[in-house]
Amino acid sequence: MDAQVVTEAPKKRRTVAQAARDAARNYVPKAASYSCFKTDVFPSVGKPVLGPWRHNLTTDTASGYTNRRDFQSKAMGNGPSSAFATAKAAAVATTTITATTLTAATGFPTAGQGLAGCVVAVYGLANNSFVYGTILSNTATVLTVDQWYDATSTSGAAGTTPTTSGGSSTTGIAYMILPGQNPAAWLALSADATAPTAADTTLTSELATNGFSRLVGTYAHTAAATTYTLSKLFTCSGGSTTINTEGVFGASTAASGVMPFKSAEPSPPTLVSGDTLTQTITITIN
Amino acid sequence: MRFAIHVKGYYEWVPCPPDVKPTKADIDSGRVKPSANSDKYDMRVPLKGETVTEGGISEDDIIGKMIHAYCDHGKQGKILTRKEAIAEVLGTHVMPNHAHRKDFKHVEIHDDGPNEAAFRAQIAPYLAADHARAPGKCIDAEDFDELLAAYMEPCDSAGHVAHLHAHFRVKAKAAPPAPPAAPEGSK
Repeated sequence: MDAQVVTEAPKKRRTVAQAARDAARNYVPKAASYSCFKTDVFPSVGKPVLGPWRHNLTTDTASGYTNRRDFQSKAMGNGPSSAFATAKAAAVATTTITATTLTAATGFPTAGQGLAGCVVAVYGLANNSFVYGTILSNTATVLTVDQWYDATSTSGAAGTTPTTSGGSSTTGIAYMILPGQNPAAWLALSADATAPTAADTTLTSELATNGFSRLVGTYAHTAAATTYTLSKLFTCSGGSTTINTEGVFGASTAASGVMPFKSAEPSPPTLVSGDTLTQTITITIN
Repeated sequence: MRFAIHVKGYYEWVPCPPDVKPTKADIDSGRVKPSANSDKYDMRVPLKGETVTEGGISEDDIIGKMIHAYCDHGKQGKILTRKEAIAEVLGTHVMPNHAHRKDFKHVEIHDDGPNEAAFRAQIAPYLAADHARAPGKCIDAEDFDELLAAYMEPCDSAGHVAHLHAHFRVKAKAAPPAPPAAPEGSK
């Protein structure tokens, strides 16, 4: 009798829905930190075009303070161990302030990335203005911020620059530099079609008009889940704009702040006045 | 505005097993997303469990939703009130990424109310810009007062909670009554 070859029956493929039900019964978290983005376009006439989730490029350049890994490390781990003597100062004559700088006596740390990304809270006695700024860079004596924020604004609106009595910014300014980092909560768009790379530090030709300016995203996180989301609505208010790239930022002003994620739109949409684009970012932090 | 939506189930993402090949429909629907290695996929998994989705809605997204609703459908769209815009933002753009509506248990809201100056500043460009797909401006000047009134319609945090419970069809149970105070002198 010839030997019989026993072949195993091919495994039946499960569908995504079946596999998801099985995974829900045996859930094992996956370790990784990365981002995806989703672009939905709502033309003011016609059907919405709902985009799929796409991988969001994580920046990793080693020069300067712009990439996701540095931001995340500092935000999660850089606490009181990095404190320094000039982290706070009461109101003194030598502290001066402008719309984007605070100048104090020497002593701010400058090694490595210095104080980039930290938050500085400032109080001005004369006009009772209490604001905070994101430090973009610093020297030994000067902190450069993106703006002075109104801490009560959910849109990250600018507050009033603190001043002193007599309109002279030489007395009555107190400040405190906090540990940690200002969150990367702003979403921005560009019409530039250059392919992004992980070494990028800015969004080239970032849009700042026609309803597409950088804005703070709506944030959400489910307790104990591995992701959080940022989302934003942009409605075109003029012209015709093709959206080619998007980015996530840690400061309010264009071309500034840490940029942890950036991507190209695979099917760049063109929006005209009245059309709406929504950008949703999901970041996995497991 | 800050929100907290208490849920009895929520979404997580796990790697697609080797025997599962996502289809174009899976990708287009958002049931899967690229993994950390972009040549693989994670799939969305509904988990059971008591938890809470918390977050903050920026005021310009609330106003932006009102702008979008007005400009939509060739300006045959709707004038939403601020509380309706908040419900739309949560229901359309935020919560679908976190939990299914059927798992909502109850909502908590902290809201400081509308910001008229911010509304006027954000609306201004749309009063000036021509709508590309319908006659007239993106927002017609004669509709501005109605839009402003809709935005400024009073609604406290409790009012938002009631509206969101109705919008999401949440049958939130009332908090149990406080126990009566023990009589004086009782042990």
